[in-house]
This record gives sequence, C-alpha cells and structure tokens, in this order.
Amino acid sequence: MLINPIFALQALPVDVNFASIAPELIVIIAGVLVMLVDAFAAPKQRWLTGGISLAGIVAAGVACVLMWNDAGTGGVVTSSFNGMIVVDQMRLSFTFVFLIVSALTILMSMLWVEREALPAGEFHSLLMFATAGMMLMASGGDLVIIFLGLEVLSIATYVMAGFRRNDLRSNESALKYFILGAFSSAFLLYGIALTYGATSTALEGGTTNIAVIADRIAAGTAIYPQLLFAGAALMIIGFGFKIATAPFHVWTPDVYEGAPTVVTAFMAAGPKAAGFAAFMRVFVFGFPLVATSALSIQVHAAWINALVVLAILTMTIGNTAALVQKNVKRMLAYSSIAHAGYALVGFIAAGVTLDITKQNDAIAGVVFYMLTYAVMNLGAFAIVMLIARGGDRRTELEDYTGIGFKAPALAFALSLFLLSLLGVPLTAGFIGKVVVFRSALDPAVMNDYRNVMTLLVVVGVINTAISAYYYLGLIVVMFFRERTTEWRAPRVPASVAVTLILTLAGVLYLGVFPGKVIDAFRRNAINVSRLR
Amino acid sequence: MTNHWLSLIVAAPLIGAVINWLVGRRVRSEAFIGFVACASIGVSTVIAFILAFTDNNGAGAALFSEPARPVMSHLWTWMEVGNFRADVGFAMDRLSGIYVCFVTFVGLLIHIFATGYMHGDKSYYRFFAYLNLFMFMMLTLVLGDNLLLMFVGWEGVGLCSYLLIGYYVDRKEAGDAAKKAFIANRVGDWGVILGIMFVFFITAAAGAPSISFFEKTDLTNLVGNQVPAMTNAFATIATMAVDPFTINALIAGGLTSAAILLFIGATGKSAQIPLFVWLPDAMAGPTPVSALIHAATMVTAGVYMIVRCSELYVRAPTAMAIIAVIGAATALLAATIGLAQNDIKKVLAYSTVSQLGYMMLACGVGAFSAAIFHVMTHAFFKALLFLGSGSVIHGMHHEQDMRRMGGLKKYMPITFATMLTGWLAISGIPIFAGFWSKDEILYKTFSTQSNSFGLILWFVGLCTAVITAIYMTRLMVMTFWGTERFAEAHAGGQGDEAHAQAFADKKTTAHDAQTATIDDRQHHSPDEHVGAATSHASHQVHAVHDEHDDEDAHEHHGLAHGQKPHESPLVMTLPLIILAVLSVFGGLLGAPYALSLGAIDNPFHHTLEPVIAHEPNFVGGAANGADDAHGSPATTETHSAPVSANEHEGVPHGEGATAAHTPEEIFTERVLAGVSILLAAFGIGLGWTYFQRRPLAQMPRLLENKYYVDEIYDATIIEPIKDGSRVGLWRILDVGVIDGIVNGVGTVAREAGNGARQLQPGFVRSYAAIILLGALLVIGYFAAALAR
Repeated sequence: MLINPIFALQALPVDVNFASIAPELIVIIAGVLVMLVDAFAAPKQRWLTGGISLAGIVAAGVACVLMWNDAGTGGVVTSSFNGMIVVDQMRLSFTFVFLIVSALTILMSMLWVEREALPAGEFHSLLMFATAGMMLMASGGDLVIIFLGLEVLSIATYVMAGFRRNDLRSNESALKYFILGAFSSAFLLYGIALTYGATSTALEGGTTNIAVIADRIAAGTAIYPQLLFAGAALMIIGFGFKIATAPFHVWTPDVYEGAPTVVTAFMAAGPKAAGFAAFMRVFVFGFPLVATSALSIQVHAAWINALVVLAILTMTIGNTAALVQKNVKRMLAYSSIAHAGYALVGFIAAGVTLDITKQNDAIAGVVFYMLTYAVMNLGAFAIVMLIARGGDRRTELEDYTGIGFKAPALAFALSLFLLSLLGVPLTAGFIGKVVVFRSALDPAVMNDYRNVMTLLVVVGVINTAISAYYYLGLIVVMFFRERTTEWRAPRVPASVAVTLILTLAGVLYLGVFPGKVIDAFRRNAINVSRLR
Repeated sequence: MTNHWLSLIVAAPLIGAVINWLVGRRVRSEAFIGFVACASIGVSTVIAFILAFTDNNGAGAALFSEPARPVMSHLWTWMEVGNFRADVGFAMDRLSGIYVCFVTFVGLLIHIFATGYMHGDKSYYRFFAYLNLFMFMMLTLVLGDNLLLMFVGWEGVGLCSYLLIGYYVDRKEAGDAAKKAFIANRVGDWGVILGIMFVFFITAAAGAPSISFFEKTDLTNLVGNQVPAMTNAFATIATMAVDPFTINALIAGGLTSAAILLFIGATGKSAQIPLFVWLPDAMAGPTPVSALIHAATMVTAGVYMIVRCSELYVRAPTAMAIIAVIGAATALLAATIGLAQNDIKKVLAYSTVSQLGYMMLACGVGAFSAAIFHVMTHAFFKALLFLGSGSVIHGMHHEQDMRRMGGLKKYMPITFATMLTGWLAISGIPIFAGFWSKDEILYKTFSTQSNSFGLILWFVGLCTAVITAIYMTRLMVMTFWGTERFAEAHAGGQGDEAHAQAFADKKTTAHDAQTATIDDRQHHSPDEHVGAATSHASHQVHAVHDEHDDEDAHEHHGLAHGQKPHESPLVMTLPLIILAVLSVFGGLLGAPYALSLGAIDNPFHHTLEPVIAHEPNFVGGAANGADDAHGSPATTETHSAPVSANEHEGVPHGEGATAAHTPEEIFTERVLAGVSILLAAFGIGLGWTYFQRRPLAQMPRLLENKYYVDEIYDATIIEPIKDGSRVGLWRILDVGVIDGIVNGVGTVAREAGNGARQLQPGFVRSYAAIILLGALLVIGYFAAALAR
C-alpha cells in the first residue's frame, strides 16, 4: 500500500496541548475581537477596545497564574507540540512581565482616545498581536517558534512606531525600524538555518529544537560542527539587534525618539524583555557547557566572550551617549540601551553558572530586572507623554525647565522613576541591579570566569555612577532652573493616573519587598528550565 | 520573645507625624497639633515603660529578665541577597530598653515644652511633624535589631536634624547651619556604612554572616509565621581573637578597621574632633530642637552604636585608644571654648560637645556602662539646661546674648530654681545626677587597663571638670545674678559700650558675625537694643535685617523699653520641674558601692552588664580583683570568670558581690571622688567670685573665636573643594568636556542638516553599515574561536 507522506507524519504522536498555550491563545483571540469591535463600534465607544484588550490580558494573566501553580506540583507537561512549546518558570515569568507591560501600555494609550484623533482600536489589536508574539518568543522551545514570535512582534511594532501617520518623525521612525529590523531578522534567520545544518547527524537531518541542539553538541554527533560557530554568531547579531546591544543599537535612539511615546515605552520594556527571553533560551539552554564535549566548550567560550565584550560596550556606550542628549526621549533611549547592558551581565552569569539552582537564580534575576525596568520605564514615559502634550511635541530637555514646583506631583513621580533607573536604594532599580550583579559574583560562577564577571560588575557600577549625571540632571532641570516662559501643568486623565499609581507602587514595592516576586520567579528551581 | 507592642513604640510617632502633616496643616489648631504630637510620644513612652519594667508574657521585663533576653518584634525581612540578610525588626534589650525609656520620656517632656515655646509660630504643624518624625527615626535607630536598620534610623535622625536646624526657612544662617550639619554628618556616615560592610565580611569569613545585633530564634512575625533563624554578629565576633595593638591594625581590614570606621561615623553624629563644628551652629534651630536632638538624644547615637558594638571594640585596642584620646581632647577643647561664648545656647552647645567627649572617653577606656549612664544623666540635666535657656529666651523675648541678661532670678523663679539643679548636676556636686556619672567615668579612666596613659586621660578629664564648673557658673551668674543689663541696654551707658566693643570685634571675624545673629527667631538684630551709637559698627548685620524690621516692625524681639522679663507658662515650667527632679535624683540609679557607703551598689551598671562586652584581657585581671570594685569583669558566656559568675546569676548584692569590693578599691574610689568634688567646688567658687565682679569680662580672643577651627577648615578643606569644583568640575569638565561634546554633536548635526533637511540626525544606511561592521566583528571573532 502506498503510504501518503502526510499519513506518515500523523503516525507521530501529535502532542497537542492547548492548555499549554492558553495565554497566547487568549491574547490572540482578544486581538481579533478588538479588530471586530473596532470595525462596528460607534466613535463614542472607542474606549471599548481598550477594555477588551485589558480583559484579555487579565484572562491571560489568570491562565498564566494557573499554569504557574500547576508547575509547582510537577504534574504538568514541561513541553508540548513535540517540543515546540515549553512550560517552565522562565517562560511563565517572562509572560507575566509582558502582560504587565501590555496592560500598562493600554492604560497609557487611552490618553489618545481622549486627547488625539488616533485610531486607538487598531493600536490595541496590534498591541495584542505584538504581545502574543512576545509570549511566543518566551514559550518557544524551537528556533522556528521563536523566529515566528519575533516576526509577529516585529511587524506589529513596525506599524505601531509609525502610528502617527501625519507626523513625519513617526513615519521616519517606522521606516528606519522596518529596514533595520528586516536586516537583522535576516541575520537571525540565516543563523537558524546554519545551526540547523550544523546539527545534522549521519542518521538524521538537522534540528531546530533547542534541547536537541544541546544534546547533539554534547554528544558530538553533529557532522558540520564548524557551521555551528557561524550560526551562533549570526544569531547573536539577530538577537543583539532586538535587545539593542552595542553596536547593534544604532537604530534605537532615532526610532524611540520618533515613535509615539506610548509605543516607545512599550518597545523599550516589552520587546526588549522578549528578546532577552529568546536570547537566553537559545544560548543558555541551546549552547550550554558540557565538560565532556570539546565542541561544546569551544562554542560556549566563544559566545560568552562575545557577550562579555558586547555587554561592556553596551553599558558604556549607552551611558556616555545619554550624557549628551538634549531630548528626553532620546536620553531614555540611550538609558534603555545601558539597561540592556546591565541585564546582559545577569544573562552571562546564567551562562557561566553550572549549578542548576544558581543558574535559575541568575535567570530569575534577569527576569526580575526586566520587570523592574519595565515598571519604572513605563512610569517615566507616561510622564514624558503627558508633558509632551498632543503630537509628542515637547520632549526637549528645556521643556522640563522649572516645572518641578508647577506640577509637583508629576515632577516628583518622574524624579522617583529617574532615581529608580539610576538605582537608588529603596527603589526597584536598585534591587534589580543588586540581583543581577549578585548572580555575577556568586561563588557558583565557573572559576575561569570569576575575573571576567568581576570586571563586568565593576564596569556596571562605574556606569551606574556615570548615569547619575543625566538622571539627576533632569531632576535638577525640573526643580532648580527658573522657567521664563508660561507653562501650565497638563491635565492627568484617569487612565494615565492609574498607570502612574501602579508604576509608582510597583517601583516602591519591588524596591522594598522584592523577596516575594523574586522567589516566585525562581520557584521550583530544579524541575524547570531544563527542556529535557 | 516576641512582642509586637514593641513596634508600636516606633510606629506611634510616625503616625503622629503623618497626622500632623496631613491633617494638622489644614486644621491649623495649635491645641490639636500639640495634642497629636504629645499623645503619640505619650503612647510610645507608656509602652516603652511597660515593656521595660513589667513582666510581660511571663518572660520577664526587658530590663530585668534573667537570663537577659530581649523583647523582639520581627516585622518583615527587608532584603535577602545570598547570605546577606537584613530585617525590619525591633528589639528591646537592656541597653535599648534604658535608651528608649529616657528617649521617650525626655522626648515627651520636650514636646510638651515645645507646645508652649512654639506658640504663635506660623508653621506650628510642620515643627511638630518634623519633631515626631525625628522621634520615629530615633526610636528606629535605638530599637533596630540590626546594623542596617540602625543605619536607617541614623540617616533618618540626620535628615530630621537637618530639617529642624533649618526650620526657620527664611533665615540664611539657619539654612547654612543645617547644610553644615548635614554635610559633616555625611562624612561620618561614609564610615558607618563601610563599617557595616566590614562587620558583614568579618562575620561571613567566620562562617556566620550576619549584621544582626541579636540571635533570632523562635520568633514569630506579625501574622504568626515562624521567622527564619538569624545569628548574632557580635556573638560571632566575641569568639575572635583580639587584634594587636598597632597602628597597622587600622588598615588591616580586620576588627580594628571595622571599629574605627564605625567610630568615624560616631565623630560625625556625636560631634567629636574633627567633625564637631556642626553642633554649635546647629543652635540656629528652635531651642526645643536643641534640647531634644542636639543634647539629649541624637548626638548620643554615636555612643549608643559603640556600646552596642562593644564586643567589636574590646577586640580592637587601637581603636579604643584612639576613641579615648579623641574623647578626652574633645572634652577639653570644647570646654575651653565654652568658657568664652556669650550666646547662652552656644555655651550649652559647647558644653554638650564636651560632655559627649566624656562619654567617648568612657567608651575608649572600656567603661561602656559608665558611658551609657552619663548619656542618661546628661539627657536629664542638659535637656533641663537647654529648656531652661529656652525659657529664658522666651521670657526675654528672644534675646539670647547673656551680656544683655543678668538678675533674672527675680523675674523667673521657677526657671532659675530648676536651672540651678542643672548647673549643680553638670558641675559635679554630689547627690546631683551628673556627679555620679562623671565621677564613674573619671574613676574608670584612672583605673583603666586598656591603655597605659589612663592617668593622663584622667588628668585631662579632671581639668575639663574644673572648666565645666567655671563656664557653667559664668552662665548662671551672667544670666540670673548681677545687674539687670537688659534695662541698661536701652538706657544707654555701660551696656552700650560693651556691645559696641563686642560687635566691633565681630566685624573682624566673619564666622562670629554670622553665628552671633543666630538667635531663636527671625527679625532680631543685635543693634536694635544698642541704638545709633553702635550702628556704624554693625551695619553689615543691620543691612541684612533691615527689610525684615520694616515689614514686621510690630513684632519686636528682645525687651522693649521698660518691659520686664516674665516667667514662662506652666507647659514650659512643668517639664523643667520634672527634669530638675531627675537631675537631682536620677543619678542615684548608678551610685556606686564605694561612694554610697554600701547603700547602693550601682544597679544601673548591673542592669546593663549582661549586654555589654568586657575586654578579654580583663579576664586575668578579674582573678586578682583589679577591676572588680564595680563588678565589671567578664560575664558573657565566653569569658565568664569565677568571681563574676555569682553576679551573673542574679545575686549582685549578695556576699559574693560585696566581697568583690576590696578595701583598696573603695579607698581609691573615695579619694578620687573627693578630689573631683573639691575641684568642682573650686571651679564654682572661682567662677562665682570672678564673674560676680566682672560678668562682662573679655575672654581670651582665641577661645572666643573657637580656636579658629572653622577658619582652618575653610582654608584647608572647604575652599580647595570649592575651587576644585569650580575650576575642575565646572569649568573644565562640565563646560569644557560635556558641553563641548554636546555643542560639537550639535554642530555636526547642523552641518549635516544643511544639505538635506532632516528631522533626525541619523541615516539608515550608516546605521546599517555600523550593524554590518559589528556583525563582521562578531562573526570574525567566532571564526577565530573556531580556528583556535
């Protein structure tokens, strides 16, 4: 009997498990729903789309929490769809961060409904798709899923960056982002292809499954190991672009400055965290160190060293460039680059820590860092958005001159966010830095990398000191400079007020009681994060 | 044992502060604000005394439980990073119990006093919100169960001190003084935070990382969950060897380094050489603030920290020696300056610095309980003296130059009588509180074995005691006896000449001119009373105040012509009376066996004993009874000696303890006490006879100008820093480098923009090129890694 190849495929165990992608499904369905509602809703009901999106996010959050609790019992799948999707603490923690970012972004965007004639419905559906993309990047156990997630995210973000269709800056930003993003996606895809080729063995074809990649490297059965180096290098470039490490950061300032402030806030917090999720998944778990395999040792050393250099460059370039910015959005863009550098330190620490518990602590540290960064960054951008007024026109440093005592609440809130970005104790930013740097200095770090990690932390601390100049500089401008022109405090709509309250509470809560969240992120350290 | 009422001691003042800040500012009723402020402290006081003195939970009072067990309240774990853990938790053991009792009680009295003193102030609510906030921070400092939480309180009281010194926001001197205090304290705080880090490293190296003061076992938090166990950092340190007595130990990174770093903090907070300069200027704050913060409580925080860390200090003999020397030097230096000041609060400020020097001296010679005892008695009599001076200033309508007082005892009998007890107490007249504590310090210094120059230190302490008696007598005589110079000042005559002379002097010394005008209220200009004859001499000062005088001509300070000083209202005199009683009898708590003829055997000392350390090298001494007169030998578990073991088991007045007082010891102590009584009497007599005749005698210029310490600091430290900042940081770095880069970038961007109008400076193609370049580098690196 002639066997149709399709039937042959069906003979494989199907391993469908919709429960394991419930959060993604919910968010996508919400996105589709928003499109439909937006098409039929009367102009006065435009706030509806935001409500639906928020409801979707809350539902996804509930699903996420349920999976979280299940993960604790051990009676849950750790992967599904034949390894395409993984369920582990790292994925769930990152998902949690993405959902928070999206929820806050939606709240911020409600300002458009009130103040500007922008099609908020479209924006919300795009945002939901972007969120789904981010979540897929975190949940993908396979390079293909990660790439798909990245593209879903990127395409939605390109459109969002150009959302002010009548604003040249916004258009320019979108176009730049699109061209350079496509450029870097090509690197990533090529890297995936090469990795696939490199991992083929004498008996089987190549693989894109991260766990299998690691197995084949360790077993030494790959027949084209040389290609692996090229593949890893290209993937570093692709991911490096997404998380804006120097020298692949060059797009960031222009795009962040030109994009609508809400989108900038989202891009700095969400996609960056998603990039970290995928980047860590691929490298920490796909290219781990296995002492018995010479190839593994070589590849591991190569990507670690490359990342060390990138991290140092990223921190230093981000901070020094931020020093000289005169535009607040641009300054925050460079600050976001610098923060990616700090987070990279934790990432590298995860890579050079062999003890699984400690490695999970390091990963949890990076996730926590992303959470703290998201909260304080979104808060800061929310105020930048308010002060910028309609059309995001007033974002220059001089627009902030002397507003401290004219809008004390806003100015104090912004000061708090800036202090948190700087890393002052009792704020989230401080604990984030502590957690990341701590895992870099943990005794569990491999001996060979002790000095390197110390160096990274020293560079990080010096950079933090440098960053004080521009963060405090803005505070000084707000409070200690006289304003000559007329200025009135912007009205704070309810949705933005909620955003600010949430982010302020978050900054203080994470800064004072970080324990619970960190523990949740690193819970069940033994049975998670390993795909096998 | 867990008792969460403890946390309410700390929380109550915070609640009071919040209510006054949020509600009080709207209500604007002095009665409401004063009630909230006093009631919140009252709550703290009551709980503090209940926990300290009564048997709660059947586990014994905090001060008397045997064996000594602290009352603890763990709220939450503040941060936990690796093996580092800091809790937000409070603990009241014997040391903090004593501290909390007098802090809350004296604090309460001062709050009550302040409701009268600040009457009519336009931001009454702000004052009491700050004052309550200060109490919150101070109690956090004292009750915090680990070094880091103590440091939170430490910084917090510094902040409140800053806010309250600068309370009169419209006066530049107040702002300057506040900044000076804040900056001087920052210098010290650098030491504290490093010291905490050292303690953590040292204990971590010993395998029990901790910064906690207490062992935490068997505790429950607020919701009843078990608290993870925590070791006591200082119990770990107590098992370590004593550092060698060398200078090198200071920088060796061991116990001595930690000890000296913490002491640097103490020199800031407790106003020791070299950081004492802020405290006299801090008198720019309202007088109750001076009494509460800058005499009774905050400034003794350094002493508290050293005693709290005594296990560390007894193992760092080099640090101990330095503390003793600095303490003695500060005591003498400040006392001599105090001799020549004319501002009543300045005299008391220098007196405070001097007394703090005594406490440090006691710490430095290992007499920790004597130090704490002096802290307590000092809190009584110095708060009394400050409040008394406040009452005088109030009665004199905000005049604080003693040269314009005199003869006040007729007008302010209660203030006079109460200050009389304070005067006798600080001078060291027997029965009064100051005598017992000061004498104990001198005796311990004399008989110290922790360094070989105890005799010199004792002599310095003795000289200081004489000078103290002299300057306090001068203060009393100038204020309360003699002719009524406040009247003369208006009538012209001798007073005018003196003032003209005085202010002409001030013109020549910039610092004095600034500080001399720091009186308690705005709008007071010295020459107001002096008339045109002197205005040419003080026109600088005058110019500053002219506009205020014009605005508020009706608000007159100092006494108007024919006006008489008046006694203060009851809310102000009542605290004075209570403090006076304490100044008289409070010292009996710590009366030693020898001096009380065996009637009292220093209960204060025995109470404190189980929680403070004893020098390990004293263990040998205990065998021959060398230091046993006070039952001071080792009683910690690790160092218990046979003789003292008796006492430790709770029979301090039994045969064993009495036997410890050898006849020679008793004799020595009595002789020394006799010497100091004679010298105190001599000092008072000298001051009395001299200043009764010449109350306005010109004191040595060097002393009046405080040894030019401010000028020296200005010239050697402050000006160079200012110049460095102006030239190095501002002109070169900021203007040159940073602005240069900014402007350079701007120029390039402008140039680039001339060709093609563009909105942002970047070109996509150049960005792509940079990315490509980076990509090539990464790929090249990987290729190289492959080739290796």
